[in-house]
Amino acid sequence: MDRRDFMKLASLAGMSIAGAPLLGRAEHGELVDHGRHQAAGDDDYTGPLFVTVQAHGGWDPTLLCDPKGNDLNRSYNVGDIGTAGNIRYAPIASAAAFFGAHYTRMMVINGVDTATNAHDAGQRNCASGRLGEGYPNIAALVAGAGAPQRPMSFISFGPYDRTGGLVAPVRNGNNARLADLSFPDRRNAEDPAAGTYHTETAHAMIRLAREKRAQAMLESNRLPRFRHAISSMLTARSGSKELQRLQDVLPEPHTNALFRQAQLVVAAYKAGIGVSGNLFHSNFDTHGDHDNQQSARMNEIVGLVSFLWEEAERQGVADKLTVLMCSDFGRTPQYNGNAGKDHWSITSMIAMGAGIPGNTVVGMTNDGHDAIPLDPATKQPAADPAQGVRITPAHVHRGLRRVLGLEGSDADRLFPIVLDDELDPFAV
Amino acid sequence: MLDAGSVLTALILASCYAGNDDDPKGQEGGADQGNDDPDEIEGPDECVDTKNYFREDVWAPLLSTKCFACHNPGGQAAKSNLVLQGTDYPGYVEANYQTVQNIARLEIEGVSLLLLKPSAAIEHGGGVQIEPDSPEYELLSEMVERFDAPVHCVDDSDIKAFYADIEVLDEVGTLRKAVFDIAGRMPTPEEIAMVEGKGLAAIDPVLDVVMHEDAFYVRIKEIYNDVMHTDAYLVGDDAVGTVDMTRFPNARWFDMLPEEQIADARNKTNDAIAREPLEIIASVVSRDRPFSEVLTANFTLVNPWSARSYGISLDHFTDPNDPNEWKPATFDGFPHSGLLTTSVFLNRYPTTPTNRNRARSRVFYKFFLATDVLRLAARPIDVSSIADFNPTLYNPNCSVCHDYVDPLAGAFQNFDDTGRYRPENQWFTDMRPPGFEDIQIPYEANQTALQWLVPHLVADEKFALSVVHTVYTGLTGQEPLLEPIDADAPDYLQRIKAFEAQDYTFKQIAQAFSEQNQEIRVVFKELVKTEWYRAVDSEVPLSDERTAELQDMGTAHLLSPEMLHRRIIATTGVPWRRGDTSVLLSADFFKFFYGGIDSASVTTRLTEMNGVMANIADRMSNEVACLATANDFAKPVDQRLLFPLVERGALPGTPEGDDAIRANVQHLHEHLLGEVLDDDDPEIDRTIALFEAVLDDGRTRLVDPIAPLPTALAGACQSTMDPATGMPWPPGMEVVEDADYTVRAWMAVVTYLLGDYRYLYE
Repeated sequence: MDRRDFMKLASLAGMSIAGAPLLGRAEHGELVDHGRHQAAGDDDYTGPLFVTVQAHGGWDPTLLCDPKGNDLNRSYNVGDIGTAGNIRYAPIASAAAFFGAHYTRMMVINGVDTATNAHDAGQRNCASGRLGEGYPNIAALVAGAGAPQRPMSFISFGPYDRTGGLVAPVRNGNNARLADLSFPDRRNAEDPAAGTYHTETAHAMIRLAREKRAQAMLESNRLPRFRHAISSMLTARSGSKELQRLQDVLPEPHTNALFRQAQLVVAAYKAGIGVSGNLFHSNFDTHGDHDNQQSARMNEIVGLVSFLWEEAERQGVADKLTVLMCSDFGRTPQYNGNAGKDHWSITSMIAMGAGIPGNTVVGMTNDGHDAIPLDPATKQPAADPAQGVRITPAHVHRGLRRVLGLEGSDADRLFPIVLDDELDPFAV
Repeated sequence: MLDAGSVLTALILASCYAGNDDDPKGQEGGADQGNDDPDEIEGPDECVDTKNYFREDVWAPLLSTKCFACHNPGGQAAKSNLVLQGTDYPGYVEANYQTVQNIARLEIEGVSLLLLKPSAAIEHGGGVQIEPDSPEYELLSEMVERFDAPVHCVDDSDIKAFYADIEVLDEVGTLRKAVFDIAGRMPTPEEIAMVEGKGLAAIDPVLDVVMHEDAFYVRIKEIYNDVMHTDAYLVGDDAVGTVDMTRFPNARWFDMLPEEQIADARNKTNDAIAREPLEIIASVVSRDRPFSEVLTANFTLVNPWSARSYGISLDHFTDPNDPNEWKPATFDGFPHSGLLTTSVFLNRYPTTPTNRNRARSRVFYKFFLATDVLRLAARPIDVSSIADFNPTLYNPNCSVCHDYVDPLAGAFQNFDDTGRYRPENQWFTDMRPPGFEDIQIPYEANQTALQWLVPHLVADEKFALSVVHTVYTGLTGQEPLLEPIDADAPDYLQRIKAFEAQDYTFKQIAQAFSEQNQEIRVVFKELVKTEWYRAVDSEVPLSDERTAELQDMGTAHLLSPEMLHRRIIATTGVPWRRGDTSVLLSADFFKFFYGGIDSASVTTRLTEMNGVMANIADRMSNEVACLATANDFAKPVDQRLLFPLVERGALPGTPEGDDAIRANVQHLHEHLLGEVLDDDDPEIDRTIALFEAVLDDGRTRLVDPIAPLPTALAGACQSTMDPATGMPWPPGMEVVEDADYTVRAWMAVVTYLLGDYRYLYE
């Protein structure tokens, strides 16, 4: 897209390039093309339930989906490496069950070059496909392109959760208060018989007056930051009534705090008020006692993803679920003096679910856990490494956008991923 | 020599102006527009920005043509320290600028490698590429000089042009906004009278008084906790757990108390230790000390509860049971350095044996030197090229960050991973010497390295800039603009204009702060007078390009839970509570749903309204209107906040009733929303229409033959006691009945306004 078109699109969308306004339909009275899953009227979004699962701190793929078992790993040997279909996995406690249950819906992408050892940059790259600042988490991109007006369109439990102004993120709090939030007009949220603060007619009059006043302010103000704020408020209000639907599908909170993340994201989608989620688990930055700490965190995160799938099955939306697991970067091939591993820019990503070719492994690393350049056409090791392509998070995200139906949408064009080659991990 | 700040921020070490308005080049910011003939060198009488000089006089005609052929990622010099990027690399100009700067600072016998290598004065694989007496050599020589003393040219006519046609708040509007942002209250009529019609400068003496109120110190602690997040330790006994038990064996003194007293004593002790860094800040500000003292103070602060943990006598305290009495204290043989050496700060930012205090160094740069070192790391690295021994020292992929981080990390050498003071610690021989830029910590100061170095750090102009940045973010909820580094981005020109305008403005304020004894109140007073703070609209239609330039102009930020809580009290006289719990401040209620933080795992505030937050705002507007409306009508008219100009029972349809209703609606718009409207403004009409529609509907239903509405207010919406005293209203003052439905109609108006954009945002 050239500079002029970009300015025009950004201005039409009321978008802030540096900050964060919305591609909201309240802005200009007509729908911006958000991609295949265009929101309209009472919301007919039928697109994916997309979830990023971020392992914060830099996970070690050799303790999950890119096992080595040589000097790189003191906790197991080559002979201990397991397989599920075409996928090899490290023998950590939960791995066999995890890969056994999900390999048919899973693509492992090894040898992903994040090109950084810095946490902030790595998290951005993992979640958005871009090393530099300013791009949204892909889950926010999906929500913003699909149904930004939903009251819990994008639920985030941790960094990196920038939205690029496409959608307002939602944080979780005390779920016991959701009734209060779902029925803000009731004097007692749990008891409809207790009545409302004003009559139903008065509440309707208040809402109408607010909307008209906000529209008038939007039409009269020219500064983008103000237009954005008013627009995002209008958009937030337009879907907020639907929060009530969550009450019907939200299960009893799980005792595991990580699993509660998954429950909320799935329930929100099921209730028609959510689109995507950014799940988060931390403490992968194992500069000391690596084998014990990293294995424990890996077991927890695969447990989270397994539970996510179970919950999606239970809620009847598993066929819509697509998951991306990733981390800031990887861990060094060698141990440091504290039995730890330090930052290493080569990592792995795992994609699962709807639209993802299952039982596949793309990309590879050598015995020293360095990335092997690929032939972009065949995705096999390049005959001449100097001519090959190293997979980056940008390749993964570009391919994912295609799988998710975002390619060519306004959101995709505003945050383009531009590469010199055609390597697409997800192209069959 | 290395200039740490010049890499990322456009520092004005030596600023110059491009000339007067008659100088056309001055209109373009004085930048040298390029020189196609390398045999000609521009005269020195025009200001040429260092980065522009690099881009147009060094990179374009020289490096890209003579050097890039070998010095590129795939070229013959790919293994050298000078690897330049081509146009296909995002931000290649900025990347090359940094790379060349790194080379330029390396010297042999006082001559830069940037000159020695291409002239083959030292071994150069490419032989002689530039003759020592050639114009190209002169260009490189000037480049080296400019790296040493960067020049950033700003023509203030550019700045004025950037701010043209922006509609801003007048002095009263500015005062209202500033007093609320600074002290969480509305200005008094007396304060308004001091500024009305007297120009913006009249605000200063008013704010000077406001910024000596207790509420200001609460606010400044909040602002700095949003940076440092030391309140993460306000949980259980987490803060007590950071105390060095070897040095302070009595840290858990409360465990010896009778069981029924332990919990309270533990909580008070923990709060005191957790809040040491922020109390140091409040103390420095309240005593009108130079703000740098928050980092240089040779003491810490204790109250009676933390004094017990540190084994300090309670004789120093007037009231040994007053948690608000803070005294300076020193620990024997401990090199205090303000908040930096508090146990909670050092534990909030710990280190590890391999990290070697780099994390502490990084946060110091970020919090107090306005430098995000991690932004340097946004440059792609190639791990396969890091095959050096000690790459943080020798490999450019790593040293780009470590050159800054490692020397400052050495200042923290005496503090171990849990913040304990270890004077015996030595710095690492395989790392750069401890220090900052040209300053090395002398060996004899090794045991007090941080205390020795910090006075030098706070003298750096980036410290002053960091204060401006922090206060700006605290007041507006927005981060300062970052200098765009991707020259190929479609909006690069617009973003650089915005950045330069804001950066220039902030640096002026930083300079004023430094010149006035680092008085932080200067920063507040100057910031609230800027367009960035006061802008409310544009006076003219905006082109797409101008829209892009003005993306971040003005505030329009969603109030935080804390600020909304304060606004509710300040404007309605009642807090939004359930029992004794403030619902916006409680994790059990809506704090996190409404975007609040806990400083531990949730450290960034939500700034966008989502559907959940919209419903919280709706619930708030309903509940607070219910609590506040009847309560206000119960008060004598001269004490009312909401209804000073109308009595309940005043009905439309009579001149007296209509006038009173209109006047009070006009008052509500000003009082609640800061809108000064003419009495025939359409928004006044809209609000009156709502009042009358609700009134009509209600009065009709009061006499409905089948299901009449009750004449009494709902219980929660009645006012039977004075909330300030808890005592019942005298007879006749309570508001229970609403036979004419006017109270409920006003409730609807208050609900309408409390849910308005101008109430929820600032």
